Amino acid sequence: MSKNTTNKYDVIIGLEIHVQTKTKSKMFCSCPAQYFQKEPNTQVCPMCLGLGGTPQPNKKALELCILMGLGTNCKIASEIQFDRKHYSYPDLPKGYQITQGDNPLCSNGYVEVPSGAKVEIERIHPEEDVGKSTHHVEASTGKEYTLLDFNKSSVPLIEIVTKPNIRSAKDAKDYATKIRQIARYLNVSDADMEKGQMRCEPNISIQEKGKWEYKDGKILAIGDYKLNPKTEVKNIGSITAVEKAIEYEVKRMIGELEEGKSLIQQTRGWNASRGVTEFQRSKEKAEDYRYMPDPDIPIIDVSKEDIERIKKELIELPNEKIKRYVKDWKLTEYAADVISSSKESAEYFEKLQKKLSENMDEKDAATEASNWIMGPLYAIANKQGKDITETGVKGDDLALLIVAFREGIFTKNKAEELLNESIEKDIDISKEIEKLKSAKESVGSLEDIAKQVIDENPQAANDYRGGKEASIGFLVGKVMQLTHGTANPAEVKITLEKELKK
Amino acid sequence: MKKHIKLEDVREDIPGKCLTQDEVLKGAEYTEKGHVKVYGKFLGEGGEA
Repeated sequence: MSKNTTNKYDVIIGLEIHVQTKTKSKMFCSCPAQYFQKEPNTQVCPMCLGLGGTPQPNKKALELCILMGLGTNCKIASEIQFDRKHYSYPDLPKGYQITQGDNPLCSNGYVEVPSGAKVEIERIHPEEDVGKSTHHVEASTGKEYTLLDFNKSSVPLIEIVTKPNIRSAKDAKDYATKIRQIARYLNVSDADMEKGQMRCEPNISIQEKGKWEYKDGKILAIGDYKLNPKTEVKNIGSITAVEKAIEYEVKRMIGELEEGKSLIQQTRGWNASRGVTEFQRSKEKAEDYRYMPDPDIPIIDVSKEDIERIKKELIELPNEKIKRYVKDWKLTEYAADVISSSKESAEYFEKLQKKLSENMDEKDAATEASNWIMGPLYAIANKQGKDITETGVKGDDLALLIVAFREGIFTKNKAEELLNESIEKDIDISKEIEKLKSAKESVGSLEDIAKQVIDENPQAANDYRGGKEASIGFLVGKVMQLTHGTANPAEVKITLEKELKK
Repeated sequence: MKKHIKLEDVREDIPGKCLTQDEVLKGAEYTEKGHVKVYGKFLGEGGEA
């Protein structure tokens, strides 16, 4: 597709994210909310099977929804009114989902993404999940059938809906990443997309530049321009796929328009293995879910005191950390973003920075901590396929290594070697550093060692003097051996060259 | 007018007892590997939530 064609259109994206809240019991009954890898239909009761009973909302699930709203700068409503959203499907046996209609618990929030854009959140509300249905064809008869497991039925969810003010696939991905980070920081959810704890459904449209406007959270046509319909994309299994699915869909829609075809409002599914979206169904009319207030659940009053109490759980969030790291400690935006990507990583960094500050200026401490975390520690974590906090490298050990490295006790390579050994062989870093310190003191000056190595290896020394420069590598190796890897190889080479010219 | 309750009076998050798989499946016409089995093709979309 030519750049000119792409430049003719604006991309308009809204994102609907469902997050499973971290509660012990379900949204409207006391069945356990943990259903992952459980035997089918073992975490259910008559209530979540739709067989009857009065729904009993879960206080913790409501408080987590409020906390998520506070973490995304939302206004919190003073009343919680639940509604019934009616539709028919076998995984929803009671024929309606209990959710919120016109009066969401949280509204009008926003989240900033790294591009600087402010993604506007229209609403965040609590609701219940439905059961799990899988579709099959019977081999013997060719009949289609569905298997139903109701363990997931009525598990607490919060739905987070943005206004259509996201303008690129990258911003949509970054926004979804921020939502996941906030949910994890606040312990609202583990938000693991692979386990279905977080689901992202973008709706996308393309409009000709200059022919539409964004007003009061809505996309409006200018003049007689007819707005193109939007596509909703489902089955997105990872944050990366959010970006890919949107990019694919934008290209597909532009292609259709450029071929003179008209677009239809539809739902498509992301096929990750083929990297394409596939048609699922057209949505010519907006669904009529016949929302009605749930008559069984009283209105729940949320007082100012309730909000103040929940606010106490609001900790410093990733965007605030990034700003502080950049402003106070002069980290790059990139480093601050990587380090604050998880609460555990940020806590590790801050502890390391604090420990290092005992030996150096606090900005230097932050820079060293960030460099070592993003370099050697991430390398170890990637190798182990773990988070940096799970590598087994203790912050205090890393601090000792960094300080010793800065004192010139050993090279960075040696430090990284020790770091690896501290995990593999469970060695005591402080003892190793002491050993290397005394080894360095006992071997004497670098000049003396260089002289000794030259004397003990006359052939290599003569080769170098005779023009075979590569032979210095052998001599450097010998010095490194004698210094137990504590010397700086570049410094060793310079010292040897000086001695060899004498 | 609809009844109001305070947030503090809402059910605490304490898990309780569930039905057994046998109890859940005894009313189902067809079952397979612990699931309720329903024949046919359904209009609309599952997992709407």
